[in-house]
Amino acid sequence: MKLPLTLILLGSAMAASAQTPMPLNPPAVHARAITDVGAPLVQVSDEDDDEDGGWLSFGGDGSDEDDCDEDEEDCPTAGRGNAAPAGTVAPPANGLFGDGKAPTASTN
Amino acid sequence: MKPMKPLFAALALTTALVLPGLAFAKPVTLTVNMNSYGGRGAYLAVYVTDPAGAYAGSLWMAGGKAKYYRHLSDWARFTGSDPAQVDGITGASVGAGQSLTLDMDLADALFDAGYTLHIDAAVEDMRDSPSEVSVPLTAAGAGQAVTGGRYIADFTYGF
Repeated sequence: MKLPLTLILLGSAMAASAQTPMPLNPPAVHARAITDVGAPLVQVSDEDDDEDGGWLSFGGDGSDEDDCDEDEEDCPTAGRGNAAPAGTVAPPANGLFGDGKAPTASTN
Repeated sequence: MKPMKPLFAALALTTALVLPGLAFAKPVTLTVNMNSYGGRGAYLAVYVTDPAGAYAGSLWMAGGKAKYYRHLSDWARFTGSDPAQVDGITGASVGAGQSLTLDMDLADALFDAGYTLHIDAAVEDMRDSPSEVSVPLTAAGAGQAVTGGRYIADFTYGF
């Protein structure tokens, strides 16, 4: 789990314990209570939860260096967004397309 | 005979300069047959280099997330992974065992003039495959299948 979410959960747990006498219910799955700090801190799963559905190790070397978030400075596409899908804008004027008409694609 | 007005002269000159690159084009079909490589959809960059080996431009990008473009490493080296290079010519990634067919009008000047078509391929959690296909664009090469490498079974272009 990413650090900001962990901090939010930690802060929420501490605030809740100060405001209510009811103990927090730890998550049922992948959870382990830590009881030696006086508050029911909870460590939840540290599994990656990439919203893109994976692709963390695109390229196959098994390291997270291949994960390229677009807000990272070293990401080549940082701040540039995704390309416009075909049909939404004209193709690039690179001189390859004879009449400027967009290519069409089909998959089967 | 009246002298040609400067505006018309300029128009005629620019037309003469621009038209040779645009007026002669032919419909071309590119077909990419994928291997059953057992992974997710492949990102494919289809692009052209000129007789000097320099990047001439892109023809198609299969795969919409620009943050993965750097795995199309030869294309990325030429373009700096610039998504603007494939604005308007980007579609979905291509699954294992599938066939991608692209129809486009290409400038005649690309054929029999030393230009080469390349296809870079990349798949999640699998090895990148730059320039998996590199085929000279010639009239004689039309209709002849070119065998791919890791992810692409074969590639054909035809008129």
